[in-house]
Amino acid sequence: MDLNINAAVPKDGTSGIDREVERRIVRKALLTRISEERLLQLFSEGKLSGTLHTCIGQELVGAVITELLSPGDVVFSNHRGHGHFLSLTDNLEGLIAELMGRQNGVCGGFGGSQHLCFERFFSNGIQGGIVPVAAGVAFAKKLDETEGIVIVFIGDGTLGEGSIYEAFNLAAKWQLPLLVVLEDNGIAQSTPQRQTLAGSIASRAAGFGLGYASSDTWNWQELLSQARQAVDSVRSGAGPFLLHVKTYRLKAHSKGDDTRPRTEVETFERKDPVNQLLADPAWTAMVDELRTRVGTAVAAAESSPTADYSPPATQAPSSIEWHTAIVPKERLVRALNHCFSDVMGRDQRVVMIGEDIESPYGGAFKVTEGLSDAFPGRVRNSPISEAGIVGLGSGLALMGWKPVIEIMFGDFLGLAFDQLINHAAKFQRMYNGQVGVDLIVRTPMGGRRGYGPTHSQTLDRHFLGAPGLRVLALNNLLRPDSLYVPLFEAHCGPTLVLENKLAYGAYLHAETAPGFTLMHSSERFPTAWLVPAARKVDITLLGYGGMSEILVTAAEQLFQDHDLLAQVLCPSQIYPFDATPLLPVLASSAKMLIVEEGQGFAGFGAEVLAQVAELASEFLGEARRVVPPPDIIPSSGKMEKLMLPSLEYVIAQAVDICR
Amino acid sequence: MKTIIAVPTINVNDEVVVLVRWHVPDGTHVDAGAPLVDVETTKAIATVQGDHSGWLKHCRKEGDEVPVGAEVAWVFSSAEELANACSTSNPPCEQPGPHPAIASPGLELRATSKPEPINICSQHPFTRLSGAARKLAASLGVDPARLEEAKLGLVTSAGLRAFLELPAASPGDGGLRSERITLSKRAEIDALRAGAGEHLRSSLSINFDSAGMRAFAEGAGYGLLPLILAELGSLLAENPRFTAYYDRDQVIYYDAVNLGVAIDIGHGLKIAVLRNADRMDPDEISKQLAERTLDCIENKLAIENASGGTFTVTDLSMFDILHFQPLINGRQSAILGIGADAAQMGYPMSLTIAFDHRVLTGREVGSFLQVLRDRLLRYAEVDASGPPAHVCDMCLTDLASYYKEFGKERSAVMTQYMRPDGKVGLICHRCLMGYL
Repeated sequence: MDLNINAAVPKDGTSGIDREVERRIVRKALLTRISEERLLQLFSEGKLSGTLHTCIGQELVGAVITELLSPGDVVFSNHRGHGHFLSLTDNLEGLIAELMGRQNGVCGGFGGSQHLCFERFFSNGIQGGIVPVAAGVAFAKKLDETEGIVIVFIGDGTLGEGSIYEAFNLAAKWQLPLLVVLEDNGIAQSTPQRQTLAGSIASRAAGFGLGYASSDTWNWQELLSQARQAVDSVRSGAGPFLLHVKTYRLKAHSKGDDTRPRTEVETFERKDPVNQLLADPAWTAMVDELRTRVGTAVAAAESSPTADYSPPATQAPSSIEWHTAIVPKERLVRALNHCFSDVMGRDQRVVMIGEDIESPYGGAFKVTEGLSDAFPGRVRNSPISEAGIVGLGSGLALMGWKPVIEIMFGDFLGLAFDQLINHAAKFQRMYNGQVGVDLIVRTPMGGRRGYGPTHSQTLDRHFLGAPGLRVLALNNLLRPDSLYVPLFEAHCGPTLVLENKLAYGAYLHAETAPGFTLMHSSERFPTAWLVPAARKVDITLLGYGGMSEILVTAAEQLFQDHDLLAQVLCPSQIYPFDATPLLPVLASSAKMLIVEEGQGFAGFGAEVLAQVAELASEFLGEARRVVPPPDIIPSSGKMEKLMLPSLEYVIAQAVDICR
Repeated sequence: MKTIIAVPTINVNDEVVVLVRWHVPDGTHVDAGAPLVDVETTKAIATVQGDHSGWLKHCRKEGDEVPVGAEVAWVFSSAEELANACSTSNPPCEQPGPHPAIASPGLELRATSKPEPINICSQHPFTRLSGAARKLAASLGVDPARLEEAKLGLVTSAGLRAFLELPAASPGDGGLRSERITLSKRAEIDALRAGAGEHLRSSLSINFDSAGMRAFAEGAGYGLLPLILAELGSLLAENPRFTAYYDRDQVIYYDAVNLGVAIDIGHGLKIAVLRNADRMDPDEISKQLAERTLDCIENKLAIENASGGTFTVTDLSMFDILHFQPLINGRQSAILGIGADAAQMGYPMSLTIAFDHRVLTGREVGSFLQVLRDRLLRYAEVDASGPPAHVCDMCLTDLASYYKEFGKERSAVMTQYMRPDGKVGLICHRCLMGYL
């Protein structure tokens, strides 16, 4: 509903604002106030789980901004988002049911106060983390060439978080339709702004080239005017805009944690516009109506069934079949390049974002060579902003795109940890299945190139075990298509694909030594199994990713030179991982060696052994992990070679365990 | 319907048994309660019975080491089922599975059944030998074409040995011939090592001529060993410290005379236990010994007759071993070794008691031996309290008196002759000539 300021409509005490608009704004502000107060009361009655962060005193921000929105716009908010939620969706019943843990809550009881999702509203409880995601949604709108902008609400405390600056930079550089509304209440939890904010807010916007306007909530008519300018600017395609709204938080940060002096708060209570509305007889009828509505909603929530818990269904099959496999003789990096090329050709929704991936450079490891030429606009160089681009990817994925985000070195994945674990991995489940995030983040792990401690690691284990985040590892016993094609074909969910630096330049294992057969499982992401032609096997070598080549060579040498029959197992999906379907293979031999290049403690090998111990401890026979010592990876080539598990070391361990 | 026959727990010590003999052939009908198979533990042989009638399929062969609890056979309720089981290409019970047939614990949220080892490669269109296998084949002079034809797939030296039906190589044999020790030998070593552990080992011997007592015992029909055991038994009942053992600052008394008699007829050393030997007479002992020996010959020594000994006796006199040092068994404090030499005059005999000085003393053992000897000698025709007194069979003049009287006469000589009972006797010149 577009606002026509200049319409000749009779005014009612306010200048230049249509009465209907005013009513709507007041209604939203009052609804927010009454709901928040009721929620505080419910909290003290012990009827809510967890805590809540009320926006009492700040209601007008949401009430005003949402006046200017179109159906195609999307809103992101934070922990203090009830007002934004109610003003946009009017889903009071869904909100209250959610906070009371009811089945019919907007997120089925999973999200609660800080993690709300309904139609085009999303909130998350991590300060600042949602901003790159919002930028991603804005990017999707731009790519889709549709109407619609993205609004993201942050606080002044959020200005401490680095990820928002990555998002500002990206949004400005790529001219994304993103409106950042900053609710400046001068305090972050218990810490006043003067303690934490360097420089000024305006200069932050100027620094990134964002549009800027400032206003406040004590004169909401003025705020509406400023907001309209900001919204129009973003809609016009001029790029992102920072709308700085001064306001005041009348209540505690959450509950009982207000450290400000009462005199200060009282000053603001007296001049608070919503307090004035509540006291104004002109609005009493509306207030009563809204109180009734809130009461009804609470009663309805109280009498509706509480949400019951059941774990998500596992997708793993309990038994699998095996078929012989042939792998073409091709360098892995070439195979990857062709794979992406094929996929992007077939599916227009696939985009690739990463550092240095455009032609002519084609990526640090040349995986994306030529792709930006073949698919202009869909393969983009990004600034060096790992958190920013992974968040961007999540936003794109929320809008149905299939982004592939390349993190240049696996070691840098830590910079995007929050985006992976607290955002991408959680959206689908915490929003109770209302959204899907078909995001692929791919990165090479591995050492043996002398790159030193922060460029050689295998950090896989730090990303295993986050529910909602699948982790795959490429190896040279299958074509990369075997993993990527299923990922793109179906709704894959957030997936981290670990590639290997050293493996890029090597050939896929096309020829197995005589007597060894390569088989693949019927799993969606196949396990590779190198089977020796023998009735019994002396030892199983288990590994994944970059280890596959060493294990296959070890198996051959163990037979030829050490009189031992070894079979090799390389799973591709290392999380979630269920050892059950592999037990019949593991049962063929009483001895098992698990080889990893990453640190062994609490790693994949430990998980495999724990599962086998729980499921079939009699198979355990003798098992050993071959892992590097607990140390950093030295840069010196010779030291690195001695430190990381080598072929010779693996063979020696296998011979030892079989003695 | 298929019933699984598994190795029962026979005694708490054994986790593995050896399958000695099938009583019912593979593929034939078996009745409930009939003996199925004999398995050997460290102590004895036990017979396993099945509770069901039906058609039997062997899962293991004679000579296999089988873990306790593992399957040894299946009993099918019909001949058709048996035929079907035999015709499947990969009958799982042929796999030598490294794990016993116990259900694996499942997680609460998942139902798991014990997985069978997967068996993919049954067809190998080639034979490829490992380096070590190739060397072995060359050293054995095996024709490579024969191996090639057999299409064995990947073959290690262990696999080659199996194919050629050679015994498995022992670890690090360095080219020397070797053989595995049996379960019972392993157990014997363990028992003796336990006995040797911290014993303060000492031993005492007493010697005497046994010709006389032997003659008596054989005349009585039971033989010398049962006589010794009977006397030993009652003497042990009077001396409870000899049936006790030392454990952590305590002497633990069995207060029971269960004589373990070592029997070795060439099938390995076994101990046959005569329970409450103090209450048995030599006839009884002789009968039981004979039965136990027969059991050993037939490899059927039962568990209850092979365990629970509180004192051990070992007799090597049959080899004319006059004297030896026996080893004390675990959880005992003494052992009696009996030696004798038939080739020597008078059939000298030794009784050696090796004992644990933590429980017994030299005085106790010495006294014990003396009493035992004296009691045995009472059975002898000849008084053994002094040096053997040679007397003329006819006039009973003793040698000393005879030479004193007739020493100066050249024809006065005691002559040895063969008595009608086959023993060597003495006759003086006078009785030889018919005087007196």
